[in-house]
Amino acid sequence: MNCKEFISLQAEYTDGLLDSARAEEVRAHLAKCPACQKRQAAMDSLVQTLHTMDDIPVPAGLSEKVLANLPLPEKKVVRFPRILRLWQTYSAVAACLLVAVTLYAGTFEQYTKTNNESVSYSADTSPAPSPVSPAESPSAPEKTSDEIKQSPLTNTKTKTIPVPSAAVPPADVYRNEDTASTPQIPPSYEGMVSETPSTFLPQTEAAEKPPADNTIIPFSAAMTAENSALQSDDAVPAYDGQDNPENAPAVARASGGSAAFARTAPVYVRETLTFIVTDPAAEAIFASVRAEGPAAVEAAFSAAGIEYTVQQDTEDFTETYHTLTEEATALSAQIDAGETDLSDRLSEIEAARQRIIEKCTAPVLCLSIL
Amino acid sequence: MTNELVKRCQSGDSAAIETLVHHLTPTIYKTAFSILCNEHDASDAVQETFIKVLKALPKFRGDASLTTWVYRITTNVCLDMLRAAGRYKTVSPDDEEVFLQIPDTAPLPEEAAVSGERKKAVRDAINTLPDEYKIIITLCDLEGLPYGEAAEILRCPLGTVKSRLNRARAALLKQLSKKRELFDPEQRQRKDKEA
Repeated sequence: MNCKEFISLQAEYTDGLLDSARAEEVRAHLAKCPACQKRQAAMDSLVQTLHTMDDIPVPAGLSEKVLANLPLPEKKVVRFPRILRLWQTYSAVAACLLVAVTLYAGTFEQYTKTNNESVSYSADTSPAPSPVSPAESPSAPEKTSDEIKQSPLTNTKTKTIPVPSAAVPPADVYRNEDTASTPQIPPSYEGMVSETPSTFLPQTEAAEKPPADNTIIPFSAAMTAENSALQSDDAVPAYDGQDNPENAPAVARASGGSAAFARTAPVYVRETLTFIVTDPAAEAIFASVRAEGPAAVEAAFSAAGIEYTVQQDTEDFTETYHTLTEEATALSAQIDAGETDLSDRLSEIEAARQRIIEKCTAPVLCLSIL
Repeated sequence: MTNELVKRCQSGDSAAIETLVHHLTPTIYKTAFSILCNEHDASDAVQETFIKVLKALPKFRGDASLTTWVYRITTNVCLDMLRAAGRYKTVSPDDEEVFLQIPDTAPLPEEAAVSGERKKAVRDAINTLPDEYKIIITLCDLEGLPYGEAAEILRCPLGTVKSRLNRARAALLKQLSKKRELFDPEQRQRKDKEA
């Protein structure tokens, strides 16, 4: 080893980081080179000095001063835990169902994105009524029927199930909350499958006695409204179950009723049965269920004589979510490595991922009425 | 620094952010002071560093440790400030020559009990170094970080850290040789007698 080689290894030797063989070579060189001995003595002294340089006093109150000038979040955003958000939705759907079953007779429509069998209705064995389009329904506004025709979802395979009029008595009967006249949920009824969505209405009752107070918006219209909102630049925030009108689902706002509440099915739900009801009674039921928690949902369903199961379905998002996560991780690593021009792309991915998280943690329900 | 605290900070927890600031302020300040050699600038660097840290924290994935990541931001903030002030000093070919000109009159190791005067002399000498030497000495010698972490902070190969540290120390010794009496007991005694 010559002096130049020694100098190139001096930092590691001084810090004791050379392997034993290399360190031995350095020691052998030092033993026979007085100049390098002096160099090493100087270096040892310098490094020892540097390691004791603890003479920088941190100004008093610097942390507080920094904090005072930091753009800290004014208030931590508290989101309900997923389970709370879910039971609030359960209660909303339960209230909708109760109102639909006990208050009226009207329009309902099952929307099905895929041919999943998670929903089935009970009905009696009487013949199914003929399909009636939403436009023909007295309870469906003109605008709604137009929206249905324009719905981007009309190409999806839709399963519609006819409901006999006998299963849906007139609204005034149920508005009296006469338990004796509560409709009995008949044995299982196998529905028919069609390629386009349809709305089935009771043939006589709905046509002759439209519910004046209880406006029921066909689900297709609701879906159209929500899809439009989702596809617009202003994404609809996940409904957090609070009474703030701004937090209400787009369809509830679209329905225009101050007392209206509704939970529309997100587009990714495989099968959803949704009743959209505007009725002050629904608010009361909702408030009651929300105050008492998930147990009240069960109680409400039991009181209505409805057996039910609730299931979530978010699997359609799993692959997309993981793909985005992997891409975000890779980009993040590149950004950490200094490629800051990727920040915009990462932000886009994060935003997309966040939207999925929002939608997956938003209420996603499939109700199966047994 | 726990991952839990980082996660709480990422979720916007103000209390966690305050804890983070209190915990990291001394480290950031000392690093910034060593590079900027100025109390006021170092305080500004701390503020700027935390602004950047909080802005980028949601994207922090923990690929590097939080401390390494914060060191990296701190050094970048300091370099930006030096460039903005026109004080950025690069390594010149003359500085490279210093590498082979380590003074042969060495301060003795047993004299390493450092007095305040000598500390000031070392600080002044560090201040005269090119910025990349200043930074490598700050990270490896003053902050005591391993070479590997310094390489991660500076985003350069490990070999570059070793060679740069070697050159930086040599340059520092060269500067300190001008005040040899502070380190050489014989010269100091001679000076005391003259006085």
